[in-house]
Amino acid sequence: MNEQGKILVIGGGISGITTALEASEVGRDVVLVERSPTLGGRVSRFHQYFPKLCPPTCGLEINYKRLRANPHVQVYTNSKVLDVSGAAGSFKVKIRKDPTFVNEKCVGCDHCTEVCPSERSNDFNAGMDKTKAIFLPNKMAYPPRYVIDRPACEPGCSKCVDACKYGAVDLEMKTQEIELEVASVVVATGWKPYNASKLTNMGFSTVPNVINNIMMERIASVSGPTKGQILRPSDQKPVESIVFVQCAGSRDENHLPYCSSICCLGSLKHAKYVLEQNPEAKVHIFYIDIRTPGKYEDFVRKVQAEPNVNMIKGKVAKIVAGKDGGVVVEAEDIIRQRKVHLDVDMVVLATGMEPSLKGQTQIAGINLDEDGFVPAELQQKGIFSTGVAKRPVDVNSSIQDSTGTALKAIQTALGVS
Amino acid sequence: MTGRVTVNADLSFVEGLMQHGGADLKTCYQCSTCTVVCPLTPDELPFPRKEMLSAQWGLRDKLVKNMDLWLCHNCNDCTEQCPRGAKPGDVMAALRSQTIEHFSYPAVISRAAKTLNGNAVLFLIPMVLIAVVITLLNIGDGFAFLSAKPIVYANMLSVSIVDMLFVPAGLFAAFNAYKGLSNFIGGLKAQYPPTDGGESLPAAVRGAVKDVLSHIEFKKCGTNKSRNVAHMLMMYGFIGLFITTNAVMILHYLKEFGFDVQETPLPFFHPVKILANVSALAAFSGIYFIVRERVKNSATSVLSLFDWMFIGNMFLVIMTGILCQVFRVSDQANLAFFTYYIHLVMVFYMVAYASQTKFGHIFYRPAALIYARYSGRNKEIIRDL
Amino acid sequence: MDNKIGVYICSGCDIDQALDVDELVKVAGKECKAPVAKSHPFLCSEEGVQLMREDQKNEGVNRFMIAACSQRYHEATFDMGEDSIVVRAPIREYVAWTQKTKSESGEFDEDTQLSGEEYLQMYYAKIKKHDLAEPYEQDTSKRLLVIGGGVSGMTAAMEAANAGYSVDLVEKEDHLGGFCLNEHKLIPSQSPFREPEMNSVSQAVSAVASNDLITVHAASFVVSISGQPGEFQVKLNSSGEIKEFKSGAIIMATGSEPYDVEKLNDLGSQYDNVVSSAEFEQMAKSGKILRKDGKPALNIGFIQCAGSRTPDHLSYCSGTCCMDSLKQAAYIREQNPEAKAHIIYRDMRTPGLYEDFYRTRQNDPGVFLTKGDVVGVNEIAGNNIAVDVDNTLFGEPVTLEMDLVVLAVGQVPSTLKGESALNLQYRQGPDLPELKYGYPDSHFICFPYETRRTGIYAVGSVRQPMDINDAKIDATGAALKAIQAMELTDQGKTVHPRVGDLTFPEFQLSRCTSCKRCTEECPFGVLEEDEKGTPFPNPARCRSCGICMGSCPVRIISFKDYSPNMFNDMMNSYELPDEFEEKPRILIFACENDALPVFDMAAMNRLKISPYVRIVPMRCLGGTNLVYVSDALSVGYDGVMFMGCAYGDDYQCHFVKGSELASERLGKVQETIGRLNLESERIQQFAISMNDYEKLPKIIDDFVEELEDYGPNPFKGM
Repeated sequence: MNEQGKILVIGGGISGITTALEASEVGRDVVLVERSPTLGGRVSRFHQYFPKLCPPTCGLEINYKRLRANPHVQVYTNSKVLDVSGAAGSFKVKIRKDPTFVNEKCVGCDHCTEVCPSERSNDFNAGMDKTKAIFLPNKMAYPPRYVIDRPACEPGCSKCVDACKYGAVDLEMKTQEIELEVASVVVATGWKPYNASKLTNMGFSTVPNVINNIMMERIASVSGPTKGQILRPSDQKPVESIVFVQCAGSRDENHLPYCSSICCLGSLKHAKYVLEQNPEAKVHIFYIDIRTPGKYEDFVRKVQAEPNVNMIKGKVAKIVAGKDGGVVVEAEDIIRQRKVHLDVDMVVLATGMEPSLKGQTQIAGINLDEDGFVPAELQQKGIFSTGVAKRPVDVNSSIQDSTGTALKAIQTALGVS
Repeated sequence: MTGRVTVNADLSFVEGLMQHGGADLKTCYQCSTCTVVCPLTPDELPFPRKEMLSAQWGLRDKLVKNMDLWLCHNCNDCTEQCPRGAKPGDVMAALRSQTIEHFSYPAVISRAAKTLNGNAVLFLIPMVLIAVVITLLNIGDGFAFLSAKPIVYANMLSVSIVDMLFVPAGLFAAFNAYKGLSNFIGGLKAQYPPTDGGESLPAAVRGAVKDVLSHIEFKKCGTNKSRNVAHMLMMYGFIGLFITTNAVMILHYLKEFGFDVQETPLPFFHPVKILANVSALAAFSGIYFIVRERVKNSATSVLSLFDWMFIGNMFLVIMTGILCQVFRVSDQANLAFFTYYIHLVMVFYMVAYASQTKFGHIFYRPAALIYARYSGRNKEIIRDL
Repeated sequence: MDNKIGVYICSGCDIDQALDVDELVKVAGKECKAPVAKSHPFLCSEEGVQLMREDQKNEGVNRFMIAACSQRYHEATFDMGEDSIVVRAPIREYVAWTQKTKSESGEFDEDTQLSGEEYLQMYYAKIKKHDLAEPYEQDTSKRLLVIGGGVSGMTAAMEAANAGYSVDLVEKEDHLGGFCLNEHKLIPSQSPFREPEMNSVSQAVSAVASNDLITVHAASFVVSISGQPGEFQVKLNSSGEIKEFKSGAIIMATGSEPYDVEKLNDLGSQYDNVVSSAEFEQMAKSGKILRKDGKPALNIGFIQCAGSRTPDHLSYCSGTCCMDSLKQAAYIREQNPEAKAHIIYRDMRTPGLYEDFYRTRQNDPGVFLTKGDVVGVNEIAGNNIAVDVDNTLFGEPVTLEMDLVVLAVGQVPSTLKGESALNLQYRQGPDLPELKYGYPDSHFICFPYETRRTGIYAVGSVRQPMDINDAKIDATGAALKAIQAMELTDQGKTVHPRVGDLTFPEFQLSRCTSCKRCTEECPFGVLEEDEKGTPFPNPARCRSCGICMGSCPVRIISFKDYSPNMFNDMMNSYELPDEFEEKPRILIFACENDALPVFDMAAMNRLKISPYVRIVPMRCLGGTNLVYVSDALSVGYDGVMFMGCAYGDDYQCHFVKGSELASERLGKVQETIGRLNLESERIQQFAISMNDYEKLPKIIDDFVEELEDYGPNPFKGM
């Protein structure tokens, strides 16, 4: 393969990592830009993948291993692509690298957090616990380097600077502007959970113990706020009964008009999380259509076969607080034609995926559709999209897509197509 | 399995519904959000999800005998929350008008009431009829009533002539309503055989009347709470006007027969007059609120012609009634008599076609509410739907 | 060039709080006899690396044993160049952060110190067994072979050609296009996803046919494929004529067929007016949606999941039939506004942006939908079809009387047709090994393209049920994987997951007993055998996992940096303590993909791990060999733990079979141990996932405790 221009990949989640690696492993130079201080994106927050119930960290580990040994990929974390201009073959890209206040000398010894007096809400755990103002984004962080949330610091505090024997903390670190020329661009900016507070009937943020599916992942995860114990947030009581509310925001013209395509499998997986810890727990899944295409059908059959799993056709449309921290959900059991009112310990809203770029400062040169996706047909030549930035799909499909998109980007970089 | 029923999808019925208020009904994907957010539905066999399905399939026979259509008070909580924009509230309204049409006797009138041309004909009848009567009666004296002072509407059309027009119209309407209602109730009985949990008929009537007068169901609405007040104003306004109109008629005939009673038109501070004016104002503000609400919600809830004709008719009845008095008192003869003429036309439309226009809900809804209590709908599970 | 080992011990990151680093340096010199042994307070700093570089330059050190953090950190920092070997002894994670630190009085803990010293010696033994690898040279082809000229195959061929690669495209029919060519219209492929699209497959056919880099072999099938990536020898039967050529990589895009409706008598397929969705597509294409008797069909029913999602027929959901039926409902309504389409579904599956297609079809007054389970399909008067449906949305069981019923059937992969499309001349069989339902095995979820035949990629509906839009995406990805395979093979490197690894198994064939275990157990079919049954490897098929190494009872298979001898030397590298009380020794063989990072995670969380275990990394637990067990026991280790991923249906092994094979082999441990008169419980395998770090200390402690019941290994000190 002859040498041509670089490929810019925007977004360091599983799609971006895959695109970058797959392109680089045929010898292409890739610049991978991630907004947060670590790669890994959404999947790094998952406890397990459906349908195999294996940890995403396992696949990430292999990918990070590929990345560590790879001279062709240049990674910019804590960085934002501001602007893409020019044409296929020679795009000009402007990147802003925000300071993390910890440089590459960081060895991960953790002495800084021991002395840090301030705390911040831990976004990695969906705000359910806290970290120090200087923190490691997560245990699998790539690069494995601490960062400082400066606004969370006590004014004038420099205890971490003194505690670091390695000169890794640099409170004077400045924002850098980087300009690059690349041949092609891949947008792999992924998704964020739909803001469930907008679902006025669903009680998220007003009724205790109504959580979203990302919180459920964190609660079930060993690196989460409860070290993987499924306890309800208000009183840390083990969950004995739980309702999953499908299509919380998805397939809804008032919210996300499309199907997010992962939430059914997500909730089925969550049902397994709950039952693994408490086989006696009662699990109710309220759905419109169970969407488990292809081989995933085996998974729904497996979960359905669990004696304590009850799947009900009918959407939950009302959630109110019950007694003693309980939650009351209301839905119609459509096949039996009766309204049901269930009083359970916890409710998980299977919130859909909203493209990350929706409602954000836009990247000049990248075109979104009205839902915030980055469809291929709206982009100029040489700009591609993949994963959930393009359309709502699962991890497996995102990886396929990203592998193919890597080839598309290579074609442009080669000037062949 | 017993009780397997054959379902025949009725395309033209569906198309009709979509044209008459249920434009988006097909997009419903049966999640039943509507049913859950409905403040009025009972838990067993709840509505309106099942009605949405029947509407999508065009199951006319099942729908026209559906009691739950009338338990719905069009709060539109369902429409607001519907994830598919299917507007169940509108669909229920469209289904109610379908029911009125279905049972209406003669059916031709209610069919007419759903189209512009049909309505033109329906209006033309009283317009011509009343115009002809006025002409015949007054051509002899060269329309002297126009210049007589003070303005007395009876000079144009005497009370007895008015009654000769409106009493038959009322009887016509009553007969039609009777025919329609008895078929409707027959349908309800077939679809919902009374259960042990039902109330006795007098109790059911008492209960239903109490519910209607208190607007207890309207008050449960979430989205359209203000409609409760508007509808109440309008309903009591019309009841008041109904009473005062009849009171005036009675007074008139008492006088005719030599009793010593107040002459009409009544003076301003006569109790009946006060009641009439208060009622008119109440009805007017009611209708004003309703129209304002409808216009405000026009993005989310679309009204059919059937609804607008009804609202428009009500509005004009009240409007012209008030203006008649205003013009009479301010002594503007031409305007006054013309307005009075329009008023009569509007009232005729309202009265004569009462059971075929949306006005017909005043028959069907109470009937369904009574039957719901009588059959035990609100308490017992009815599996035989 | 002579090998010169330098030992570099970092005392930073609190290593000096747990270990007497000066003492370690002494051990490196005295015990290991390392020519160079140094410590540094911050080895990964510029100065630290500089120290090593100077030694490289001045002292000729070319093997660097770095006793510091785990290999998961600073891989690039400690890259000492191509001619040097770096081995990491993670004393930070395995010792300093997970064992007792020095007391307040400044005394180092005896067990901790021993750990450090022993690890130093073990990893010193390890580096001594590392040799520089050389790339596997072969005369490679970079022509891609694509089998199957449907949408998937054509897309793969086109995408590869667009990246400048030559392609041989083989199609069994006399024309390209495959199944989709004959579709009336296609499901929408782009926003707003509302209406069926014109069928554009014929344009794709022309584009492929006119592409200079693509050679189309129509009316052809593969007679045989032998060789390995980079040099597959392909024999083709092209309309009776035999063609032979070389290919670098292969894409198998042989597609699927609709499920055979003849098998669906319970859904009335025997009746005149019950047709399959494929037949219906052709009716619509001809513009004649008619019943058997020639009358127009006005009431048409679609039965979804016909033969899908049921153990009686296809267990899986094909994921395409809902969209297809909605599309066909559009045909009905378009061709006759009086006609009605009725769709009976179990769950309407229009995922993602297809939701809008569903909504648009719904919004047609003549499309009627209900959820339900079809329980009976019967012919009634007038050859009409009565469909009995339970569990409907109507709240009661219903019957629909239809003029014509369409059975929406799923996809069956072409692999189940009974004839091989690949005809691989591999000892392990002519096809890609199957996972389930005829679909080839792959590392589903994370690495979906990895089949068990290196350089051969299944794509499209033969890989898993999928629609045309997904098939195109899939094919593009597969084209890249094939290109990667060709490029990496050309460089003599292995492909995923050990991308770029230059080490391949080497066989000391003089000692081979022709037991054939390696040829049978290799998940990738790397090994063929000659007439005498002696294996010969095809390195370009190899993923370098070491499963063959684990299978060999006479330890003749090794890698340049990974071998049974290396393990043996590691075990023997230090003197085991004589006394059992307080000083048992347990070996942990840990898979570097899952289990090994778990130790790092435990260390990051400063969890305390028993000081009696010694960790030996493995490429994959499939490298497990009972000879290690007997070696370890005869040296005096009290127990051996094998830690790797979970296996079974939901296996996680990146080499498919590793942990499963390990467990099979360990199942025979009793034979080995019985001879030594030891308890088989001293040897155990543990499924450890990356999430298990909190549990890890207890798993180990429990094992240690269990060993206490058995007492010391009697071979200790012998």
